Amino acid sequence: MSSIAFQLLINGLIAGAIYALVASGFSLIYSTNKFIHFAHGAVIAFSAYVLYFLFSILGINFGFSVVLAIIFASLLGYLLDIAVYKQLRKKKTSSVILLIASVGLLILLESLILLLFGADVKTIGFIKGSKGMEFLGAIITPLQIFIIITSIILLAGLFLFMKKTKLGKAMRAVSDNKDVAEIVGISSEKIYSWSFIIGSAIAGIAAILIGLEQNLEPTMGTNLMIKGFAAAIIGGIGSVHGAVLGAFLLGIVENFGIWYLPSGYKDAIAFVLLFIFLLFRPQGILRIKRRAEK
Amino acid sequence: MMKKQNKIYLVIGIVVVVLIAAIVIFSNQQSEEEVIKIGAILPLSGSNAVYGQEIQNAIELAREEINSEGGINGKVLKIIYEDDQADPKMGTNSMQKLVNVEKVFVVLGSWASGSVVASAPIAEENQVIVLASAISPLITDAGDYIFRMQPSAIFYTSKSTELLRKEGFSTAAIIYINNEFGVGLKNAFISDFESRGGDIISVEAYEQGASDFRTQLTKIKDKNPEIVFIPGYQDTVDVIKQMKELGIECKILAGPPFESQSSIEKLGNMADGVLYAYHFVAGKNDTKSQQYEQAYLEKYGVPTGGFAPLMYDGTYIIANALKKCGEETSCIKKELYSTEYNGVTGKVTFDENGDPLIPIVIKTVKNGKFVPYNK
Repeated sequence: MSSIAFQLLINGLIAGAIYALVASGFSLIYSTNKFIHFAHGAVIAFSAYVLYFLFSILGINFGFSVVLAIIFASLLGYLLDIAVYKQLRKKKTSSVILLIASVGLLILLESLILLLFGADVKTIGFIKGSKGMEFLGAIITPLQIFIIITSIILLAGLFLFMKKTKLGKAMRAVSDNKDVAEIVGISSEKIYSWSFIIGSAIAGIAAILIGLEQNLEPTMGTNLMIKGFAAAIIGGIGSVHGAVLGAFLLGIVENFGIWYLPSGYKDAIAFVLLFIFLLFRPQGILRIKRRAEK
Repeated sequence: MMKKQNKIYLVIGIVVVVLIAAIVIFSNQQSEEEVIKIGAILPLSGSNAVYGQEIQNAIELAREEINSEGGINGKVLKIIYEDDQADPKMGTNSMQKLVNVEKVFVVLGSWASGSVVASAPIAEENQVIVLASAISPLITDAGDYIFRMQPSAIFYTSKSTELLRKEGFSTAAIIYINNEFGVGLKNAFISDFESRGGDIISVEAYEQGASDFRTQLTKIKDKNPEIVFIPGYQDTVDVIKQMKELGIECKILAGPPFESQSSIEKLGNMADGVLYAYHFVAGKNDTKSQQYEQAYLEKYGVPTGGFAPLMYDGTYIIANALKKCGEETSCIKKELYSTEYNGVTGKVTFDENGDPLIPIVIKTVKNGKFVPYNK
């Protein structure tokens, strides 16, 4: 019995790590820009396809393809900001309009993928499927361990980045109060762009790991965003390391939930958790202090 | 000056409108005289596009052959394709469009059970003939105008449970896709396997579009079944992959969609030994099948899959009925119920519910090839 529990914990961690990869970049962009960038999912999907194109079709060295895919993700995020969001911000549009624009971009990018790569499911095929390793009675593959470690490093790295670096501090300043930040000489436009560049680079990392673990489909971005978004809310929207914790919580609760409940309820469990947080703890897991300060 | 310019625009405008009107009227006249159009709903995009594409290939092959042999009493057969992505919601939208906008009176497909079950009432209400290629037992009672080329789930499961029990398997677990297709096969399998004295020890579901099946599989592993039945779509491949990752080493019985070249491409030698019940065996020894397989290979560069021949025959059956009845649906319906067509899939007849009678065989994968199973 305990080996099942441990395996479920591992399953939850794997699922949570994947949600965390999506949620952290998304949350980073939200924290400064203050609107919901749904097209983040499509950036992940597109970068995964770029990796597929470079590695599986052109046959470029895997490491080099990975670097190019991450750069591509960064550039795509930056481009979306410059070409669409910045233009809308110039017109002082509300964040609701930006949200709608982001849904539009999500659909546009997914259709582009469909146009360029076709509808059928693709596999990158760098890692051949095989039996995973035994670890205290549970089974996990090396790639999955790597995914979990990456998301934990992301959690720590983003925490340090936001607390210690100049750019991170500037981001937090803009996130707290844009106008005051501008008074002390921080260009909010620059910070918006930087958060898109960094957030989308994280999307690139997510694309590679998710692309190796799962299959590629044009609509994978939407599917990833649904859970990634839920995780970001649970973690406290706008709190980057909160999003990572929220993702792990979501993954673990979901997988333990269907231990006794029928497995068809998996998504229902995720959204019940989301509702519980929205009703009783809308500030998310990590937002205790800040509320008290206010 | 301004006025003169306005006049020029007005003249240009009138000319354009007249031209467009002329083109519309002209093309309409042509289509009414020479074209007979029917609809087709298939999953042409999304993760199940492999099946939709394959079926579309077969329908197009049949259509070209029919048209080159004189069409439907001199009229050209035209097919309007709609994409439902194997999704019931999009299936009903497609059916609405075909019935109300395109005004077709025959619809081929869909391939997805859920899509057929959801869209059949629209067709039935408007007296539009449907010739589907889907498995759910619910389609049997879907309506008088609803026919299908694929046998019902019970024919598949009775064949496979019979074999499993004969070979001494007595405990089974099921992990099924939670839609009409998966539920239909799951229920049929449970009642068949239990009536033959077998034990179902674990039943798990997953949603269409899911990619993580580990927790369901962990629960199944804990029960230690002798066989796992996976009625799924293309996701069957990922279920099998994750089973192997988790070290579940029991016998696997898959659903009919398992037979697709992409299953073997993605699984490699993990596909070896997987069993499934199927309605088609390639390389039969009659000229009609050989001609068809040859033509398909020549036209598309890949060998035919197993869903294609069903609708290849289906297109011919519909064409024959159209030749006799024109566009009168009650006549087409009567014609279909009395069909006796010798096609690629053998002799096709429909029972009083519009279900076909096609023999089912157990197949497996051996050295990367789909072959009939024999001990």
